[in-house]
Amino acid sequence: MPTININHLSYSIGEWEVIKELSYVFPDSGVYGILAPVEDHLPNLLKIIAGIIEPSSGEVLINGVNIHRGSESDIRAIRRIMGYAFARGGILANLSIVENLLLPMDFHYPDQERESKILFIKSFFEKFKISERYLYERPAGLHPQIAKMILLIRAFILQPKILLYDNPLSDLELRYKKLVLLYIMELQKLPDVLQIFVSTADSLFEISDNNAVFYEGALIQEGSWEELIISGGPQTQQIIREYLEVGINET
Amino acid sequence: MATFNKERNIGAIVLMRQILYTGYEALSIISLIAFAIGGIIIIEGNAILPGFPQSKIFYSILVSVVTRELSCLLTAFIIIARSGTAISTELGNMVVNHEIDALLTFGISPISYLVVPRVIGVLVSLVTLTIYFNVAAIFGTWLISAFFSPVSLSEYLFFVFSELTILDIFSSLLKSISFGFAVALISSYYGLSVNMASTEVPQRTIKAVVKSLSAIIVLDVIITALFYFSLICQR
Repeated sequence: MPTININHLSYSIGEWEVIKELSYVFPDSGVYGILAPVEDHLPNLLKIIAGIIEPSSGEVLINGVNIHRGSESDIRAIRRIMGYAFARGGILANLSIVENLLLPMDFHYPDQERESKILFIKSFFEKFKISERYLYERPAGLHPQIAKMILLIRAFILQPKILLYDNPLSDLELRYKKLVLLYIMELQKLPDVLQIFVSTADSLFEISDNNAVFYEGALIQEGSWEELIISGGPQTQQIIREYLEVGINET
Repeated sequence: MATFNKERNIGAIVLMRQILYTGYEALSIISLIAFAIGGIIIIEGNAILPGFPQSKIFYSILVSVVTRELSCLLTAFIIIARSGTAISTELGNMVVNHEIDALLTFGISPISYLVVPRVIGVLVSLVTLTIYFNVAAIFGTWLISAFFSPVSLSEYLFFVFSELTILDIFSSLLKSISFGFAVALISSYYGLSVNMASTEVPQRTIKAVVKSLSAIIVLDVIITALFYFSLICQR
């Protein structure tokens, strides 16, 4: 089971403290939401957990390995069990879609047969009702919705135990949103898969097991979506109100 | 390099593409310039010194100007213009589009996956193209010299090789290797130093070109000076 321990984590952009002295232990499994005002740039927390950006101070331990300071082989083992879905961008422009999806597979499982990897990729295309003709297209020609779905499929492709989503439902039309939500719920049932997301879509918070509310870089509250709506503090209520774009009483 | 070895399967494709783009696709422009340079030497030399293609000094100039200097410098200039700018722009755009971040999430080092194959690709291409430039310039010079005073190819090559020393070949190789390193590293560095704005990409590319040109000129002066002093010491 994956474990993520965050110890005394701070992250600043210039003078601005995006994350203040955060210490937190994520649960082993389930869907976990991070709720914060959009201007607080909390996707940075996901990037720090993923080891894409370095914190100003503190550490992130994944299965006991410091994701920023661990040995190459330890970090490689962590990468194999981690998937990251970008909000947008992140598809390698000089590779076709199938090459993009094969890249992490070839890197982590170089001995597996190419054909079986492609069949596995095709199974995701079928699951998300995406035409296989996109497999051999270049990213530049893709519709933004399909590009977003490719980003999600690439995060799922190694069947990771830790999934980090940066606004996974943004830019998606209803039919794709539904398919992605269903898949996230399918993974939610697994006892050893932890999914953490930052999102501006309340539909994801509705299915999450737990949520952390951040305000001005500090963790201020935790709880399920219902708990936060009913008994959230004034700042939490304000953030939820912004998410829902309606008065909390109406909700 | 150890990391690159581990990632050789995926890095090999990047390396082959780099050699194809930097080396193979530059052959036509290198041929044109090499032939033209050979022709210019003959025409200019003949204007100053009638009967120039038959004189001994012609072969000395051909070796010292083309083999030791122009072949390495002009090939490096072409590679800066074609591949240096391409590397810097491509890597800069990759940063802006979060492609570098994506590689990091897979556990793939951008240095071993993107930079190392490019450095090797540019290095191999620059050395190969410099050799090709020399061959094309020498052959081009022979073709154009035929307009002034025909010399048989075997006789012409005999005179060229009698002027060519191991030191000339070594100097040319050392220059092309060091130029290749410099161009690839500088272009990659400026490409990866883009932060998040797409407007930075052309700015960094311009810096990469200017720094690459400065670096190869400085390297050329240093290597030429070293070889000049080694020649004096030999005498």
